[in-house]
Amino acid sequence: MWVRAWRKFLRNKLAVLSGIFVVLLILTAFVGPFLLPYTYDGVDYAAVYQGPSLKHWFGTDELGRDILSRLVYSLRTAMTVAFGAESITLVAGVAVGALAGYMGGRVDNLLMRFTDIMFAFPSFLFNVMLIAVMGRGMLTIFIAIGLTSWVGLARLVRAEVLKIKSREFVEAGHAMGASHWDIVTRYILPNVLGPIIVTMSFGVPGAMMTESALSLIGMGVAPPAPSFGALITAGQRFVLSYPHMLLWPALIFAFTLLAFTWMGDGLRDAFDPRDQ
Amino acid sequence: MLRFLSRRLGFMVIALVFVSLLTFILMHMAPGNFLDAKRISSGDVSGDEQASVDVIAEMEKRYGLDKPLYIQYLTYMKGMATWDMGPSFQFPQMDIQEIIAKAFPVSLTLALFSVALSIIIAVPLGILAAVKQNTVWDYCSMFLSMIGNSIPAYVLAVFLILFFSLKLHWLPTAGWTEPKHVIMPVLALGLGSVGGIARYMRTSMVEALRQDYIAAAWAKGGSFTRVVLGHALRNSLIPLITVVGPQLARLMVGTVFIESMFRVPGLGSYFTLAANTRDFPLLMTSSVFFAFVIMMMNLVVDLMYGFLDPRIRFE
Amino acid sequence: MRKTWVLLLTLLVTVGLLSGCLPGQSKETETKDPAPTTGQTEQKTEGPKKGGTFTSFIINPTSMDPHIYSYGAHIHRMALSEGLVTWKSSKFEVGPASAESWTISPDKLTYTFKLKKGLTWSNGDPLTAKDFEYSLKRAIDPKTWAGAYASYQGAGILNAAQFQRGEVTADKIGVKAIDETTLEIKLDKPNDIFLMRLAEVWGLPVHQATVEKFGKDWTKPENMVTNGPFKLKSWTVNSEIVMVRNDNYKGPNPGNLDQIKLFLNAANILAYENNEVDSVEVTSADIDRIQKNMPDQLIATETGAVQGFWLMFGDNQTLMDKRVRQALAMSVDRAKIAKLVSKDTVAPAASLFPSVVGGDWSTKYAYKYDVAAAKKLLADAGYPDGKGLPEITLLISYNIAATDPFTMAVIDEWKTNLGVKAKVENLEWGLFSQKRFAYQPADFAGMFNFSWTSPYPDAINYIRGNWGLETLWADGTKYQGYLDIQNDKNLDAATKSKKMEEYRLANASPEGKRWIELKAAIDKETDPAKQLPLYQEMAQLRLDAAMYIPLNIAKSFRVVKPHIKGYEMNPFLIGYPMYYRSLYSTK
Repeated sequence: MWVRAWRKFLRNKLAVLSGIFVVLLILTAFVGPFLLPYTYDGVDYAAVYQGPSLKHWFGTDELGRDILSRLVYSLRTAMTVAFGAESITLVAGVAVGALAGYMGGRVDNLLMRFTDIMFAFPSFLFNVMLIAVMGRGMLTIFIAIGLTSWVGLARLVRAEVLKIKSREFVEAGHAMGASHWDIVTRYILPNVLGPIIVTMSFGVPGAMMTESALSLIGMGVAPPAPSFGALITAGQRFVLSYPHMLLWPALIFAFTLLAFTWMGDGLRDAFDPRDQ
Repeated sequence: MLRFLSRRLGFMVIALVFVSLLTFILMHMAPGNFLDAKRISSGDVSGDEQASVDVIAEMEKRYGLDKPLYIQYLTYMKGMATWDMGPSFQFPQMDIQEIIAKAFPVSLTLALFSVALSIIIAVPLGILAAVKQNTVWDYCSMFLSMIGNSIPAYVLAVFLILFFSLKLHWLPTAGWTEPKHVIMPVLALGLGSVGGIARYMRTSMVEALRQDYIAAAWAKGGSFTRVVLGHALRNSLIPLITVVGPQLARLMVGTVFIESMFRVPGLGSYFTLAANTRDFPLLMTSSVFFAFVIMMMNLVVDLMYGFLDPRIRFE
Repeated sequence: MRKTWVLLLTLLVTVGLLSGCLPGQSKETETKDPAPTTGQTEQKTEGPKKGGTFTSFIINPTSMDPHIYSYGAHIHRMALSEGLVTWKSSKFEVGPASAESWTISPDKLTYTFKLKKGLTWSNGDPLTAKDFEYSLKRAIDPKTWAGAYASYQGAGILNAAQFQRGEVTADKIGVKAIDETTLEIKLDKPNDIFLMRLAEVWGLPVHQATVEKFGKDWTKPENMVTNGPFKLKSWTVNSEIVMVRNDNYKGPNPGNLDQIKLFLNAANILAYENNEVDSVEVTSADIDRIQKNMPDQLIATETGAVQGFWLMFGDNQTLMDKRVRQALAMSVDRAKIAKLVSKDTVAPAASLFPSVVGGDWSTKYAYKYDVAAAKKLLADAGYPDGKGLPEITLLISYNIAATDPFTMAVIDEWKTNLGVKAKVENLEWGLFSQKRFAYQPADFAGMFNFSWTSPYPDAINYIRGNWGLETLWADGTKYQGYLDIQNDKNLDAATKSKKMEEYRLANASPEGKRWIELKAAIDKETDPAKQLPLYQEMAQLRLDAAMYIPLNIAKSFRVVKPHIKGYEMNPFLIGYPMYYRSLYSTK
């Protein structure tokens, strides 16, 4: 299954290119800050509102801060938030989904009703309220996003577990006297991994979008720490006089989201059972 | 069918109570309150101590904030049940039901037009991609539709304004008094969901084209129009409801950024404002109303699916 | 599969029906067209030809009642309603409006206003002194709407404060209609700026019959009755307000506007450049380009809004040494920051008095930029070159966005000039509003961001209205006792404020105690000439205590289209026009 999916993924050139780009983005986010000559909050009055130049590749903002540096840090913020939120989603979604699917009966019913309620809860409003309660900060933001986005994954995992539960090799495991824990972790979950990876790869750009939307209403990562949402909001104010302040963040952000989406798309095709 | 409906509706009531409780608890855990917001926005940072004490006591009485929490909660619930929520904190002269009655049609209009737009673009793209599967056409149409998906609506909006208003001078930058004001917000919202729908359309079309009866229709010498648009399209449209429904619900409850950028008097700005200003009655109503709309939409999707797909029976 | 087509058809019909919901299709627009041309044929009022339109933005009002605090009240003052007196210009001189004249008794306690004859409301009803009596009492009454309280506060009408506290009934308030056109207002003590204050929103009249008939719905366009030069035609909440000329208005209307359209959101220079609006504010983002491309359309004024940082109290005693605070206040080159970072969109403020209040207040009671002296003060306090001083936290809220670049620059100045480390803590405002007045733990030394403007130019209000020293504690830990009284739910309002007063007197720092004494002395003194030196002492005391560190004064920049004449900015209302009636369109 893995080999075939991998081969299939490699055939999709767009997805492969996106995958390479994603790896580069992750590297940039975590190594980039150490290579840059400027910090994200280094104020320089002698160089405010500068357009792109050799010294500042992407120009500077109203405080003379280097936009490239701010973008690299924004990328780091976005990655941290997205991966943080996704880990919460992963843990909560898989736990609830697997438990419901495997146990079935009353537990299943109870858990699924709960996910139904959470599914109906207006997620953005919930995010805003959670952040209002917990205060602004990287940690609270990804907890808030994570808490609102596990529902879809839980439903998916449950459905997959239900399907796999009745397959022969699971029955065989039971027969061999494996414990419930072993059955779930060694027989069932590895087979659900494909759909989980696909969901996660779409979840990352989703979480980044949510983070930027929160920044727009002043609930995102607190300045001076940069984030895409904050840079874009600020850039909008300057769009007529200093268009580079909007253009670069918007472009880089769009490419980041695109790369994740295309990669996810390729992964989905690769794991699609109908095409096999 | 009736049993199915009553069970779903019963569950909906329980879910709404849960949502309202959660909102109420979060709301009271959040620091700050409306009165502080009022003092900041009216520029009253220190104020006369005497006056502040009096004013706050008076306002708390007016809003019932001096009552025990469970009574406050029950008051909100009673208000919602009888559709008489009383005035919002921020808009002291407007009842919440009046706010919803005015703003919901606006959001609904915007939602329906943008979903219609994305369907109009996405369906042909999806068909093209499916029919010419794994060719340049397929890649190009999927590529294009995904681009829209990855540009946040608020970024797209800025570029739309720059292009249509400042460059071409065709459209006003914002407003909601003339039909032409609808164009840009609908574009900004609609283009975003093209990708998802087109992708879904492609998958279900590919599925439909593989069916035996399609092969039979081709064999009988059916034309493209007849086979693809006649037979395959009809069947592949049904699953589309499951993506379009939730998308519609999400847009129906308002879209805060697009609304505030284009000055659209819809629900979104009220509701986000409510959370930010700790406007308790409006916040309570909005989250319950949101949840209600989303659940209703899910119910409608399920019912329509059953109506259209004879294989599904309601238990 | 016929079902599919049924479904599609239903969808189509729904969308078709929905086009009825499209903006502009509602009845509001059909009743539109006050048609500028018909306005001209009527030609009732003297002055220039009517027919002008003015379109601009205003901060989104949440109510359209003049006695409820929101921008709706300002819209009333600027266009819809007219009080007894008015401000003649941005210098706030008082001129007649609904009152044609007034007399002041020798003891300066009784004002008798003579109303113009034949005044009417927009529906034709006669406007009498009784209407003003009703309205003023309504504005004072905290039961009508507590928010109004803040706007009236301190104007000094006889028995108003006692009435608000519930000690006397409404008929004891010193406002009385003698006859149809005579209104008498009594004060509890002389107040030189009473007439100027009377032109504020709380002095605007409301139509009693309408208010009583419709309750809170009286502010709906179809119900509203007003007495100003314009009347409300439509109000699309969160979107726009349209006002048209009120032909029943008999007062002076030097402008020629027939219609005023105010957009309520998305204030943006894009709309100005696309010729949708006639005026918009200019932010630091665009100022350079505007100055280069259309300098003739740019107008500017310094405002009364002072921004800065306010001392917070708690276990940490670092900032309780006033030399440290003075050093912080003296080591910032505000002029440089205002010029380089803010592009002169704010004015540097070394004083808590903005220059628009007049006199020498803003220059006399100001911090000097003197790094050497600041360093010495810091060293004297035991922190040479900032050594040993904990990091200072500056609390700001995202909503106060304009301070952000300026604050970052201030932090940079402290680092370079004093070696003092500081950081910004940017909080969601709910947390901000709670934390700024909370008791702080031992590891927190900080100040929070403030911004405040008096609504009218009066230096005394910049002493009495805000930034008092009563709560400058002898040491930070004294603050807890004060909070305990404030949060005590078992005390009634009167006892509580009495206890708070006693606590302040017992636990304030020497400066705080002196401040309380001076305030009491002024309250006993009725002669304004004798009050002045006491106020001057307060200003000096506050400068020396450095509990508040002023940083900048907001400036208002606007672009106005060349065909609009007579736009005079209100320095105390972020550059909105003083009154819309003075605008004139040559188009």
